[in-house]
Amino acid sequence: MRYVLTISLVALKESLRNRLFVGLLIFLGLFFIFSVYISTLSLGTPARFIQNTGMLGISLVCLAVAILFGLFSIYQEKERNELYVLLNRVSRSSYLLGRFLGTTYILVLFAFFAGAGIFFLTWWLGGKYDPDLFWAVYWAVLEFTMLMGLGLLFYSMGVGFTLNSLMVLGVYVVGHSMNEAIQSFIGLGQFGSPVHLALVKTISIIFPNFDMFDFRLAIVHGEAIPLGRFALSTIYWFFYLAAILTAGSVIMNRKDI
Amino acid sequence: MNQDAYIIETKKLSKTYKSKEGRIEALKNLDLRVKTGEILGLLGPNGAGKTTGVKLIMGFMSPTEGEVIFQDRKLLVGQPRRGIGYLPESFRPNPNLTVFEYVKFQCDLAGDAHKRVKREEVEELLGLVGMSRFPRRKISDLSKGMGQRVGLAQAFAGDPELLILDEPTSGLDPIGKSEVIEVLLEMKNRGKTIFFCSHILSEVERLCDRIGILVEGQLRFLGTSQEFKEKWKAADLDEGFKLEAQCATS
Repeated sequence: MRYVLTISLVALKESLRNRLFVGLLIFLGLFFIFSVYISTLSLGTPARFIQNTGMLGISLVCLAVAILFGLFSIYQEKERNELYVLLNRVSRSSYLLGRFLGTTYILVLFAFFAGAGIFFLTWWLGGKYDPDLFWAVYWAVLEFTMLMGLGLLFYSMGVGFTLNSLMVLGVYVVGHSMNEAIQSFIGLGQFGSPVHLALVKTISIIFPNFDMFDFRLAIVHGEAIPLGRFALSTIYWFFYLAAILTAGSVIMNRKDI
Repeated sequence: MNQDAYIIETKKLSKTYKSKEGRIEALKNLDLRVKTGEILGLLGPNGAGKTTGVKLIMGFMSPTEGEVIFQDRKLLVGQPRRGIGYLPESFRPNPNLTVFEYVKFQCDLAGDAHKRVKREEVEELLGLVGMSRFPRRKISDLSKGMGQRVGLAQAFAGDPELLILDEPTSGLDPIGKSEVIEVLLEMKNRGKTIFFCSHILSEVERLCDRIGILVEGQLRFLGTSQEFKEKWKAADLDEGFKLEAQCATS
């Protein structure tokens, strides 16, 4: 475990010194300015506008972190042949976990910056004190760590950076349509064959369902998230992530690098 | 130290790739024994299978056939090689760290999980490769030669018994090459075993106790450079090497 922590801390240090870190901070700042500008166009509900655009900002920044810090850096490590040096010293699973954890730190940091920004803007300009906004940080971290885990799984399969990024984006988009897709397919299944229905249900379990973490509207509207949903989403995240990271380690262990 | 003991041994190590053009035998039945305390150089033209051989020894690839034995233990594919310092070809360290941070990071990974790495250990390694004046310099600001020295320092982390270096002088200017060779000779004086790949004959002749000649995936010769020259009645290694390559391809 110490090796995992060592790798993760170096990954964090590397990310903090990367120019992309400053670039993403600037992007976040611009996004806040944009959300404030949009809120001035609203009729009496600036807080909601700031929150809505701010949520989009969290997602965009976290997606960029997952791809640029999580994936790009490991491909660069391979290109520099540094991967071989690391794998001479630690197991492939420790390496994957260390890189994952290192990117998670930076993801948490950005999600927190974004959440805190929305919170203060909503309070200052919208006059609404809403600490529940920080739950959006929690859900964003769960969502994007899972996405990053998938990126690492594709990496372990030997997929190149560009294709991996596209696959991650694709999975993100499809993963946000899962609930709708399941409902439509189940509807179809009622009129079609039971085999078809079983197949669709199986695919919906295997495929990541990012709708499980989509509580943005509830947060913006101040609705309480039922404890059952909260627990279910967190448990889903834990097991899904454990499964993909384990699969990534197993695949990487068997692969020629 | 028993000079006749073998620190690492490969037995019938082979690797065949499948490609669109058919099966490519990158390495064929490599039987190699490296004696404790010696410097063994594996020579071969580009594409001879040197890097494939090293990657198989390091466990980065699974062999089609054969095995690797290090200090009487069979090594498994995919497992870290503790006790072996490794420098891959065209290696570039993490550009976002300083020289000290990078070498310390590697010492942390090479050392015991329950023991903290002392500052002096890192400083000693930097001194060994002539980088003690630049501990705070960012790696992205280093020249290629200096980067290679950092690469050597990381390979020495954890005080490994065996060093495996893949083209340690590639891309360096003559001064850089000479400095790397000096460092390797110093490591030999400290009792380390060095196994390295190269296609630069002059450095091999200067450094190695024994050489292995690999052509088209096959080990064609293993012995001293003098024996090799005598085999081909050649004036120098270069001439012998050309004759060996011609013989292999004809």
